[in-house]
Amino acid sequence: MTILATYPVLNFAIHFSFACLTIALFAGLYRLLTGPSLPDRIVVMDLVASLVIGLIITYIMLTGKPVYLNVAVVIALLVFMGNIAFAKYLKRRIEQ
Amino acid sequence: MMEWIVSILLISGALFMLVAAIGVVKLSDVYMRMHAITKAASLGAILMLASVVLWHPQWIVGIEALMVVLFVILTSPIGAHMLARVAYRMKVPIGDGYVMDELKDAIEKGDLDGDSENKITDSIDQEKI
Amino acid sequence: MRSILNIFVRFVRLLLFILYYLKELVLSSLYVAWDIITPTDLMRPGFVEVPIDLKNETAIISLANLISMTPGSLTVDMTPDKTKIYIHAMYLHDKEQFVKKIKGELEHKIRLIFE
Repeated sequence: MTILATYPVLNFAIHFSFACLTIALFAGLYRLLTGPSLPDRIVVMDLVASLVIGLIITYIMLTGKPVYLNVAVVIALLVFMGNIAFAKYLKRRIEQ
Repeated sequence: MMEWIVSILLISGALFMLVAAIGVVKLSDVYMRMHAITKAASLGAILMLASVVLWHPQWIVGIEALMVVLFVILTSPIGAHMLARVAYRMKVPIGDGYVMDELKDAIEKGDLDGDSENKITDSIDQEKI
Repeated sequence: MRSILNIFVRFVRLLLFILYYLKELVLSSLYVAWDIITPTDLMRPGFVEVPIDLKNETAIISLANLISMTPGSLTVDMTPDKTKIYIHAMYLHDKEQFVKKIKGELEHKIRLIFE
């Protein structure tokens, strides 16, 4: 926070994007709870992964430690695996 | 100057992600929600990563950001494609206002049966069992 | 000498293709954002069948990815013999024009690089 005190515009931008991403997470939560079918809920998983990448990036800007970018790489890989696994599982379920 | 550029990139990326989330709530069926997520959310991630790279100009940050961008760009269309295909086979209902549905006719005619990928994975599964 | 020139031309085309891909990504995100913010009464969604002539596997995968990244279209399914592709489109005011854009513009660009 001490570093950011010299950059007021960036400080505002960071807090604004935190607010946007939080609202977006709640919107995803709404769709997750009321989604009429299972694919709707899996789509929300994809959205939440993107939002978490955004949150990590905003957190990097807040703390000034780009080490956390490793987490974003891992999430970007894992969500693809999760999508494929869900698609395969659903396909097997309709074949039976 | 750099501060302004970084701030604008960060805010626009967050706004794109917010728009994608609003689209997930507002649009009427699964396929249109996939439109919103594959496009708006991946562009939001790219803009925010660009802001990090501009603010921390080091080699390792650039390489890792490039890796994230490549994964997101290459894998999100594939995931959406597989999920949309399974969703159509599951007979997830489509929304209002559809003008044509040629995929339904093709499935009824049997054009899409005998998927080669299906056959390969099925034979592997049976051998293991 | 000729083959080196050929490889060079192909490489330049690949770079141009990557730029085109990024341009399509930005444009389609703006389109989708605009569609989400404004009321959605103007949408004419539908599933369209488009025949493709590509033979190479890599070329077909790139075409499917590129279709998912162009404004208002999403690849849904494909026949097992890889001759027809099924697309979910958001704006189907004119089907002929949509098929012409996929066939003429995108498939032509892919063919220049991979075949």
